[in-house]
Amino acid sequence: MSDLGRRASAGARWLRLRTGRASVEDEVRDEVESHIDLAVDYFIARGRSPSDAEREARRRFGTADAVHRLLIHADQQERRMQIGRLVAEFLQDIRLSLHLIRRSPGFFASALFILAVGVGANAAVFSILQAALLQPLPYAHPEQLYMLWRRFPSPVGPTARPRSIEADRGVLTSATVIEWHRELASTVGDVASVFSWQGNLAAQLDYATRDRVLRLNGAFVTPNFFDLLGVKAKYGRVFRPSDEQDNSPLIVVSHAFWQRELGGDPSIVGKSITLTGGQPRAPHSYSIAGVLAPEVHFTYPEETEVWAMMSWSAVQAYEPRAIAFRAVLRLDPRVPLAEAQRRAANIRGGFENAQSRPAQSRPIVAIESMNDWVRREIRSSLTLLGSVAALLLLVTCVTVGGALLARVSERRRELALRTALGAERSRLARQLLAEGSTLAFGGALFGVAIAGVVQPVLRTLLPGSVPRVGAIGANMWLLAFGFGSAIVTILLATLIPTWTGSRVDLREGLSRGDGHASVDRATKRWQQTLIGAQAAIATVLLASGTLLLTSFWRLGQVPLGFDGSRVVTVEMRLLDRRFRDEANVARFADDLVNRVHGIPQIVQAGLASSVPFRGVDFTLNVGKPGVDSSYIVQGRYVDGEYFDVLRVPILRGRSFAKSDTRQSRRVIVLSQSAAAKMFGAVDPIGHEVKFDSTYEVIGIASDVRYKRRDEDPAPALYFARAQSPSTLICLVARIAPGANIGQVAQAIYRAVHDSDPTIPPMKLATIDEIVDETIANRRFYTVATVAFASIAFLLTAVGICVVIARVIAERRRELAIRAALGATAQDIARHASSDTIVGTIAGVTVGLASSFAAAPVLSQFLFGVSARSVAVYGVVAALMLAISIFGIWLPMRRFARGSVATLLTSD
Amino acid sequence: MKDSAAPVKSMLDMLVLKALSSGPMHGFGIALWLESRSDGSLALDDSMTYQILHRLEARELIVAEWTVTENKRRARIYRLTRKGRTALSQQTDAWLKYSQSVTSIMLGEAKPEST
Repeated sequence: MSDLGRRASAGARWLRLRTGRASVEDEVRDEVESHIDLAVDYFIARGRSPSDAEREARRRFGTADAVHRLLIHADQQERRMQIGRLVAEFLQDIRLSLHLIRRSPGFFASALFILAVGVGANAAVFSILQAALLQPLPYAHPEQLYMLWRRFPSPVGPTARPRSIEADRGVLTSATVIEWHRELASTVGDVASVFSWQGNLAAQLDYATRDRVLRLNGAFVTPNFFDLLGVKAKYGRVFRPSDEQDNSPLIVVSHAFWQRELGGDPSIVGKSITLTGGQPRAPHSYSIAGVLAPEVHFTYPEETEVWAMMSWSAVQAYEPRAIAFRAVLRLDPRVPLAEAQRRAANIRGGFENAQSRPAQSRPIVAIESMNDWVRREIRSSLTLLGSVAALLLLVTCVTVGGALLARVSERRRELALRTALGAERSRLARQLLAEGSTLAFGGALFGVAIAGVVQPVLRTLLPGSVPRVGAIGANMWLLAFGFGSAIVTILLATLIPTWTGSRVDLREGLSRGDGHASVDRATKRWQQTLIGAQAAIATVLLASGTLLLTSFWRLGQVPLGFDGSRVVTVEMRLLDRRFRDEANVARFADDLVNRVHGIPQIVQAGLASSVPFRGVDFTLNVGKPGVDSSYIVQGRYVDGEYFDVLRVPILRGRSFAKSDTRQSRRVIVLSQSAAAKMFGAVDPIGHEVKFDSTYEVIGIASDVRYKRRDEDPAPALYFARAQSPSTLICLVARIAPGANIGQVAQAIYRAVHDSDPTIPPMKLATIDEIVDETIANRRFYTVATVAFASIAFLLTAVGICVVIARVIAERRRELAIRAALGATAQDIARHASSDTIVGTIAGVTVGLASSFAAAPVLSQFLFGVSARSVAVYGVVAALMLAISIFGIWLPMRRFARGSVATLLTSD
Repeated sequence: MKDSAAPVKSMLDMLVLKALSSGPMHGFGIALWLESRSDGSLALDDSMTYQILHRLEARELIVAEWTVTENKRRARIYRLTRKGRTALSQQTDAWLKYSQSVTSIMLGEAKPEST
């Protein structure tokens, strides 16, 4: 071998080591050798000696490493071609899979649809999850923001019940806020305060327009509030700490209010509007400093519309122990939360007189992250929904995976033939993968489209308290999630078929010449596993759905104690100073009721200080004369018609009458549970109850659930409005069947306006709406879970159907022979489906066991049903078996229809 | 990264295409053709010819196949494709234009530069 040849082959070896390929190098080496030979011939023909000729040929070819360079060069070219070939092959695979789709459009359409449902449901849920939970709050560095609360230590002991979230969020005293602002601002982080005397965040401000008075959701905030949150104005400016010195009343308005009531005019900044509110309540002219950006929300579901400034000196001048302040803390990022909590616990904040009390009843300042404050309530239900959706996606992937597996085993012969014709195994795998990918990406695209339809439906189901609902939309997240799930789908739904498919045994595949022999062991095992997995997940979903539905139904069965159908309510608060005189309140109330009675569509009307599930339900400490004991009860100020309108039965005695006036004896009606609590077995009628004066018990009313559906009704006292006029007025009215709510609302607003034009009525609501809103959250996750579980349930039948159809197709001849030999339809069905039945039963068992294990997670969502209810589990198991039998019966019926002769001869 | 040898490369590509425009040839034949037409002034190593040929082959401007010569030697014969023929005529035009400009600049016949 020539020197060059040796070098060439050395180079080739080097390349072979690097790339594992030989063909290109061999070719280059051959060509170099041929070149040298041709050159030597040439020079000999020109009269050179052979040795001289070879020397000359080598010299001409170039330096020794020229070959090396040539080889590297050739390799690079080869690589480029290789990539080109891969792309071409991939395109060819896609073309082939499109061809297969054309060949069996039914199969692909169903698979595509199933995947799309899974992806669509998930993408829709995820986009809501993203907007409501994951998106950062619209503040600068929201992770540094916390809310401060006054909190009593949690009760301990065997009778202790977990407190509601609201109970943990007590309002602070001004002394607490001032103490923090003065002493901890520089070391722990500054606070800004929101003032509200209503017990809720919304300080109400009345805005009089030309023809009506509007009650706005307002808040009084310290000058550093917006700076501390990092919120900017869209027009004008927000408050600044330097405004502290300036005494002119300033407001910042929300974007929505600015658009709705101020005409969306940017030049409004700097102008003034007159609002009635503050303390003492009086009209003030407020200068508009700025308009906030639309995404700024501080309270849900009702947005704060007007932000007025309250200087720090005004906070300090406020009664130090009055509980009327909330505080937002921006924690210094260098200070650990535990340190802030330690410092907070040492705040005296006007609780000095409480220091002597035992530790359990001494309030402390608690710190809660702003994110939790906004999102804690919705987090658990959205997490439930997300998990349910993820399980559904898993079911759809498994279903499609099972179907693809069945197809691969049907195509076993074709695949074996391809292998025999020289297709590489990796090539086969790639082709199956391309088929799966076409399906998965098609499903994802279609799924995102479905999400676009599903999402608005979910959105209407969402309770109004879900934060940042406005931010939900068809966004990039939706697309990203769709394609993310496509990748998951490819992995889950095509890996197994790809793996078993590309491991085709040549001999086995081809020797089954008739294509009817039974399927190989690995495929069978996989199929059984997939069926089992599908049944298990479907069982978990079905059990959750059934439990939630049962619980929802049970909650609906809970007697509320009143009949709210066709009852509307309009709330008013008489805040003006005039109404400190009870005679003025009574005059207004009487006038209003008279006018409302005159509205033709109204059948009955009455007044109360609150209605069930809305308004202020007073908590009172009452006693009995001559007895040294006190009782905590709810107190409501109502008239006699209130009981009639809401159809609250009077069990004993009577309700209030016209004869109960301010001049007559003070009377009271007890609720059934209050009577039992205060008087036990004694008939309380004619007995006395002591509160601000002494009242005679005249009647006992049936119990009413006022606050929560899932709690026992609290004992309550009803005072006569005529004797103690309350400035809180809820008009309740039963309207005639078929009456137009809009017209009734207008008529009532007009009646209020005619009675007193300065009083702003709040929006009319039906009692049904109010009650409905209390279960909105529960209904939201119940409906969604039941819907997703139903899909999973139906897919179980589809999955089984596909497998049985495949078994029948493969063993048609064998089954036909059995039929010819006298086997009954049941025998044949049993024969064809035994593996599937075993898989399903195993799956259902695993599913029920998982549900049992996961019961503690689900039980927080349940009411009146155990998460381990045997009855529910039994129903679920029965349903799963029924749907499986349906899935078996469907393809068997088609098989049974064919005559034995056709079955035996057909191929 | 920009290849500083690109103009030279494309010129060599063009010359090889030109060589093949008269008919199929093997690598050594092309090397001889280039040598005789340039009176040896190009002074290329023969190995360089193959780099050019492989490059053109990858771009599908030429195709190659193994044949046996009249001397019973195995040789890889290169032939222009239709694409190669088009590329050659385009490159020829471009080159003529380019070389005329360069020539006129170098001989000082260009119009005065407008500043």
